[in-house]
Amino acid sequence: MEILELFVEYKQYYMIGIKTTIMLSLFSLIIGTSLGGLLSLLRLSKFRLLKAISTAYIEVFRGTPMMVQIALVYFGSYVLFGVDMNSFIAALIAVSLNSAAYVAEIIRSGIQSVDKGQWEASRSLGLSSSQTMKYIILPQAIKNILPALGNEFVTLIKETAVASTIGVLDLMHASKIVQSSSYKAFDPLVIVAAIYFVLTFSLSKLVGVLERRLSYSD
Amino acid sequence: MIKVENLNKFFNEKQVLKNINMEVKEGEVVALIGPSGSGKSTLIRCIDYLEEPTSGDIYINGKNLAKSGKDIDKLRQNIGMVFQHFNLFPHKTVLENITLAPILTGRMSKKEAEDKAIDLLKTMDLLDKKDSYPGSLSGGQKQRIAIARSLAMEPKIMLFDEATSALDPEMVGEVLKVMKDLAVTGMTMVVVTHEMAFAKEVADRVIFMAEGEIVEENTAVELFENPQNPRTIEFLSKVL
Repeated sequence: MEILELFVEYKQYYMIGIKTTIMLSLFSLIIGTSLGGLLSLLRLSKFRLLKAISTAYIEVFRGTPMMVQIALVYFGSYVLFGVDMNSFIAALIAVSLNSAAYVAEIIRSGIQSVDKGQWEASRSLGLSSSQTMKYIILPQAIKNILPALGNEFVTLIKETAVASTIGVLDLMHASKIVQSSSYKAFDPLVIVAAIYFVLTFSLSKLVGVLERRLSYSD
Repeated sequence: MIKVENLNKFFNEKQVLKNINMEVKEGEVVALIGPSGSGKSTLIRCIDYLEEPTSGDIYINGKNLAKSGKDIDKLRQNIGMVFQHFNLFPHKTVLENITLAPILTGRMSKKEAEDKAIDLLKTMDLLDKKDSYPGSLSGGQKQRIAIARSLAMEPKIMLFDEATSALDPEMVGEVLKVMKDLAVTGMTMVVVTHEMAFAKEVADRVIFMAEGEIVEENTAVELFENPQNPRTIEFLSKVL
């Protein structure tokens, strides 16, 4: 049980790491999903310009590595605007912006997966387009995309590990500290992998519960 | 009540409606018949503005649909539409399907809407299904719920777009009966249908369409028993 002893010995670092990773994931998830929802509506909008902006955004953020994006935000804020940005904030911005691109595509596919007849039936009853979106289309879309969305959230938690490259004290960073102070290369990584797994597995289970709740009408 | 003037509709290059003029008076039941692809459904969908006419005007009670802008929602509240594939909301119970629009549009309180829905379900003989989800209903039941959903808004006009075409044969009768009962109450109705017996019995007037044009229109008895245009004669000889 050498590994457990190692974990207990360096518990404080892991705790800070867990807290930071959870905060970073949670806030990015909230910001990324909200922004993603907005982007998906722009992408489906009738206005060509809005559509083009949204499409360009999505393509760029999906087409470049998160590690590059995080460095660009962190160093770019200093080079371009002279702002000495807090590394956590920089990571939060980069992860949120990145996740938004993926979430936008998931929500768009969800909206498009709802039968066109649903839209027509709702409008024919005299409901406005925003009422139709809110009460008819989105509830069905969310049900359809929940598995994909859960997947994206799991990916997001794992991807936050990149934040360690700009010095954010997250789980990954904690394991590096433990590696160098304990002179052990392998065990700290096993610990950190286990903790990431516990986080992502709990989230998957949570999404599973939600999926079952939403399947009441099947 | 409904007036269509010089209506043209193109899908890309293809013209699906050619210079349509028609009028439906209050309380009148008009059946639209014709071969598939003749533009019947497109015409009825234009009347609910689910399709935007390429040119021409449609007036509902004197109000021009195309110039209604944001008032289109208000106008549509007076027009009920029944679809071939029912389009019930699968994530809502039967009762919620019926009460949703009256509540959201502010037309009724929740209590009023529910009372109204229960009345409608009683007349459709479907009260026991009020807490079911659409997924568990038969096609005939779904379509009767869809009709109830439209009627809950207390519309002045009801449009039926091949309401029985997607049903199993043994369920067609129950839906036609509901439509017949509705016609008797004096509802203004436009019915796209392949049920010739129904058109003959219930419609005041029948319009025969082919290739995007109104070929012939007359009272039901005259059109079925004494058709004039060769295309009408040919069509009727195939379906009767």
